Amino acid sequence: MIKYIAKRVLMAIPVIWGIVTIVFILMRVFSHNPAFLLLGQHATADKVAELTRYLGLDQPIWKQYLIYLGQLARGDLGTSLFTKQPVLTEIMERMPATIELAVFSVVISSIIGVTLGVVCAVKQNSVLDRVLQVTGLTGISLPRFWLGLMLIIAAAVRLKILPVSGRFNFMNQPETITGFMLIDCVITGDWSALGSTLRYLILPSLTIAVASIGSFMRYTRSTMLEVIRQDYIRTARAKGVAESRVVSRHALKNALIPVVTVIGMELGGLFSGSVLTETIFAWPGVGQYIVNGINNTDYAVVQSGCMLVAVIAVAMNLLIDILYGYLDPRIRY
Amino acid sequence: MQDRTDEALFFDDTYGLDAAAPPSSLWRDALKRFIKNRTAVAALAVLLAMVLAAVFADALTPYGPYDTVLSQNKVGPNPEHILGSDENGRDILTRILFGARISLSVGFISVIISTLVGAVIGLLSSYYGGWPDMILSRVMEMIAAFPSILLAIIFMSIFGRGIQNAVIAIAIVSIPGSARLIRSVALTVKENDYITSARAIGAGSMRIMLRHMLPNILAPIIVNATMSVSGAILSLASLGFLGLGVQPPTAEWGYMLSSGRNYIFSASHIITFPGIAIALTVLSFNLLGDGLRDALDPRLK
Amino acid sequence: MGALLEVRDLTTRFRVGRRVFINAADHVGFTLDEGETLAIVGESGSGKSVTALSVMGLVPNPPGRIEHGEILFRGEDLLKLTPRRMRGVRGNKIGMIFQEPMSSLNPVFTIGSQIAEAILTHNDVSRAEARSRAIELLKQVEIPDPERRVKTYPHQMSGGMRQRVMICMALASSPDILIADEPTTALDVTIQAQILELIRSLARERNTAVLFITHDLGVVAGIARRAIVMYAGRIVEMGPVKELFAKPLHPYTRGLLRAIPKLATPRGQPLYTIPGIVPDLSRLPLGCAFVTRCPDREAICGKGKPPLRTLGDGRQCACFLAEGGV
Repeated sequence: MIKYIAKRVLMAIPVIWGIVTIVFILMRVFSHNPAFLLLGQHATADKVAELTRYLGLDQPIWKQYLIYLGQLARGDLGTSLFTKQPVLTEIMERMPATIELAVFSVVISSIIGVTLGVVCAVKQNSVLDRVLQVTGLTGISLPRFWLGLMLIIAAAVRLKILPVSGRFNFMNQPETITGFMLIDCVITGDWSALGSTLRYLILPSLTIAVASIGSFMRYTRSTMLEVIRQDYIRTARAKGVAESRVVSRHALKNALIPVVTVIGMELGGLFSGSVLTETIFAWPGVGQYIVNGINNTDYAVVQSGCMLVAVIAVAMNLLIDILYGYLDPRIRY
Repeated sequence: MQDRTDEALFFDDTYGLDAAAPPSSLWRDALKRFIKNRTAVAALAVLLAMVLAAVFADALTPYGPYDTVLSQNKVGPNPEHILGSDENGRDILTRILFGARISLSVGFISVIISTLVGAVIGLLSSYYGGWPDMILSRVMEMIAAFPSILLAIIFMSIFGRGIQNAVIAIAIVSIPGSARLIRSVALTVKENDYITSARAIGAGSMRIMLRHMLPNILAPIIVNATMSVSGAILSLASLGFLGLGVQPPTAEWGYMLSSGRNYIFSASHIITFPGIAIALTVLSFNLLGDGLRDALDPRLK
Repeated sequence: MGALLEVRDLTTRFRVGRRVFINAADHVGFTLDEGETLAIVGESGSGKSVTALSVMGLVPNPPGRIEHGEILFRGEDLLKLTPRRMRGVRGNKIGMIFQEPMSSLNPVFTIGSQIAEAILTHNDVSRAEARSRAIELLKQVEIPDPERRVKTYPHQMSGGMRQRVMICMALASSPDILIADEPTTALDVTIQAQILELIRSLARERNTAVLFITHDLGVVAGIARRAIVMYAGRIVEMGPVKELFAKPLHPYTRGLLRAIPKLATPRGQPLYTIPGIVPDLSRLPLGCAFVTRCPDREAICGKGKPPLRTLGDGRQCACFLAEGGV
């Protein structure tokens, strides 16, 4: 198992290198001289040349690449033009919010999605199955940012029951320990803050979950149908094992192996999707930070932010891979 | 539709019986199966209607997409403006119809590009294997590791807004997916005896790839392309919503949502209808893709 | 005293097309006595596996369905049991092993837990007790180092070992009947002999009746005293193995026997094969299903289905032309 994990970690390194390199290529090779962007369009040629030299942009491209990698290794992701703060610091402050929303949503939607998928597979071609299939596909087809807005209108304004923006109530928030508010609430035993925090999570995570549930359900259904045909399922039945146990134990554990991969991909997708959901719900995470960067034409923020989110998504996939190894003994050994 | 497949599988695998398959054309069979799938046919009808509406948008509505009547801003649906008007007094139905032009064409063009490039990459790397496959696959993996919307955002933030850039950005982020799919199907096809025999009679590489392999992997390529169109339309809308899509004030669905966002409480119809347009289009492409998959490759259900 | 298992007039029908049905098992009837080993022989598609699955109540539905007949186990019709009570029979009174040991074990559970599950399903024992019984069973099927083996996964074992594990599971609750569906077909020849010997000795020790399904007449001689030959869903011949081999009554049986390569066959003489192929079950000829391939056919053979007739000393044959005592 340790060997397997080590292998996975090693395999993630070239992927991260790839992400970093793609951003570099896009930024330095294809884009205009950042000096123009920093100084504005009316800068004098002298000033541009000076800044170009200062930024090291007159160096050959491979040297720039090495300098860039060195900066990254030191955690230097550049400085925000707008706040003049190091981008890394700003992102790290916001990362827990993004992770919390994504992980919370994915956990909820995988529980619901996998359950519904199993139900569909067991009741294959029934009316319930067909209705859920179409509903799931509809869920996948709704643009998340639009669904979020519709939910805000429906739940928050018409019914006035749920908060529509932000992550917590200033009057009722836990002490910050980890930055993950749910965890902080539990650690400090602040149950009323926990309730309040959960209420803030409902709309954003529901927005995310609708599509995720749809895709988890459809995928679980098709893998379950595949697994249920296997010989070992017939063996289990031949042993006299109850049908409910055949489904929930023998079939599901095998079906979960590919489903977990899809859940991992979805989790990665949610980190990038945070640019949309966080904007709608004013969720103080990295996605919102990136969108602010877009609006302020703050390139360091946009590019480094996207890069870091991509790296975090890779890390999350790594965790999923490890879970995969736990589920599938053929990989573990 | 489902039960037939199951029986065929059951017999093929377990009892070695031939599930009496009459020798008739794959494509004709597929068409027959497709026509029986009412949901998919309905989706196709909706899409055709949308394409027609987009093409003949000028004739269908008395307004232009940029006609602003400031005195009539943010009015709800009424006989004059069936879906109401937006914050600048523009007719929403008109803008949705013109928006369909952009969404559909960006969707189609970017998917055509990504499928063609993906097919070339997938065929080359599956056919040659070895280091060309190694290099192409690694490059594809790197791009795929980058969450697509983020890559598109970076691309747009560097190259600037515009339909052309949006098409390129969306095509680039969907290339790895189609390349990977085409490579994996092509690999299974390559193992078939008819490829070996084609090679044995001395057919050239180009000929084998285009004449022997390509026709046999067309079905999954078509299914994947159909599904990709819905992804591309969603991506374009997302970029538009973030202010990174087309140039304002172009009538584009995502941009309509983003500009109407400030009025969600006072005039929710401004964002309701463009969203429904996106959802309906995307859903139709997904249903169509589902139907095509069931029709073309019944085993893949 | 009645037989342990009596199958009467069993017809299992499969749907293979929109309006196309086939009788995978067609009016099958036979008995199995306490402790007896009965072989069912036939090519693939002859209905032997479907018959076994019907007894177990494991016919995949859809597309399959038991159309009519009775399956009497100790006089009780298994087809009339509730699903719940049928589960109490499956794995408990009747155990089954399958052809593919490679895919018949669940890849994500240890073999120990899979054997223990078979024990826990039918016996009120603790997990620890089930575990030690599992180890005991592994010892009985001659798997070395059973204490360590219970913790391994199927993919870490060879095909022969996995088939032994399958036998463990089938015998976990000491069933009265063991159904073995081509248990050696997927194995190497040397392993085949070991597994056959294991099944035979375990069955004798425990006085378990065995319904042994195979396409290999050579195997039949070694394991069973009585055999059934099936063709296209029907029983064509049934009788004691010795006599069946010595004096086959049905032309199909004769063909099968001739098709076994013998050491005595002179070099250079071509091996015998039955001409033609197994007919498509959805397009069977009107009369005897074997008519298209039969070397002895006469006009009557195309007219109607030949009934299974008793032809002296416990032998039965479904051929118009067969004569008893000849």
